[in-house]
Amino acid sequence: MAEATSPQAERKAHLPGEAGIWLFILGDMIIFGMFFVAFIYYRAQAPALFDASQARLNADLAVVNTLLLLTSSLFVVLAVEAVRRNLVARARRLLMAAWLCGAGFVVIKIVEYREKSAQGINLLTDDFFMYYYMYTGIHLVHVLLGLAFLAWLIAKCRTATAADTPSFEVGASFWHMVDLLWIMLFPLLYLVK
Amino acid sequence: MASTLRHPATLLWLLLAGATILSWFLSGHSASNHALATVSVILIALAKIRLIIWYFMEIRHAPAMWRWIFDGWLAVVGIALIALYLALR
Repeated sequence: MAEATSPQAERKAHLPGEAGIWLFILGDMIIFGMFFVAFIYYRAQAPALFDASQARLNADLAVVNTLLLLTSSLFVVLAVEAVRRNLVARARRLLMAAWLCGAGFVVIKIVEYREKSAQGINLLTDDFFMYYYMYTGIHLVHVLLGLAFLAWLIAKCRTATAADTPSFEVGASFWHMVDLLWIMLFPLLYLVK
Repeated sequence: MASTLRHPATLLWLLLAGATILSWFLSGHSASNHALATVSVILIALAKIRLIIWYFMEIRHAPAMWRWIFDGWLAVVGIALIALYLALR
């Protein structure tokens, strides 16, 4: 495993986890890429409506959520590194920290949905909110799947060794994808004017 | 603990968090030039995604095909978003 952590540039090429997860990640990213482009296109058909509806969102909560996912991703990076060094107890603590940040994202998203609901806003309010609920809802399903994956890895830490690294890499890669999709959803839904 | 704080991934996290705050600030202070602020926040998001793919997902060490696929995704999505935004406004 020395080569996997060495800083040398000419190391052997390595795709973390297994090829299957990367095909899945790529497929998801292509679908979300089309979501992003569709949003910009439909926004241009009714910019005044999109701007007025966007102004009713709570961007502060979205910033906190972005920071939570970024922090969660950092913990996952450190956890994978710990597993590679066979420090599974440390990996377990880091994955628990990552899971809590991810759970915090879900809680804040629910607070945000409730806030909107209290203002009488729903999926049918207008086109902006249709995209808002559709995109954030599909993303939230990904967050929940990622949290289930992280929980499985936390349980696995009880018996895992460095030889189990690929399983951790698969979970980590999926979790980073959940993070990066939100990184583009955040400016598109909350910031683009 | 000290080694975690000085870890390259921690420094990258600081950069990503800083870029998030910067996007928020740009968007909130763009009264005079929405287009510049919007293109900036899209570019910042693309840069953040590239850093996550490259370093957190470790694609910088992946076979060349995968590096090109992800950079291709970034290029296609980035160009489509910015070109459509500017062309249709």
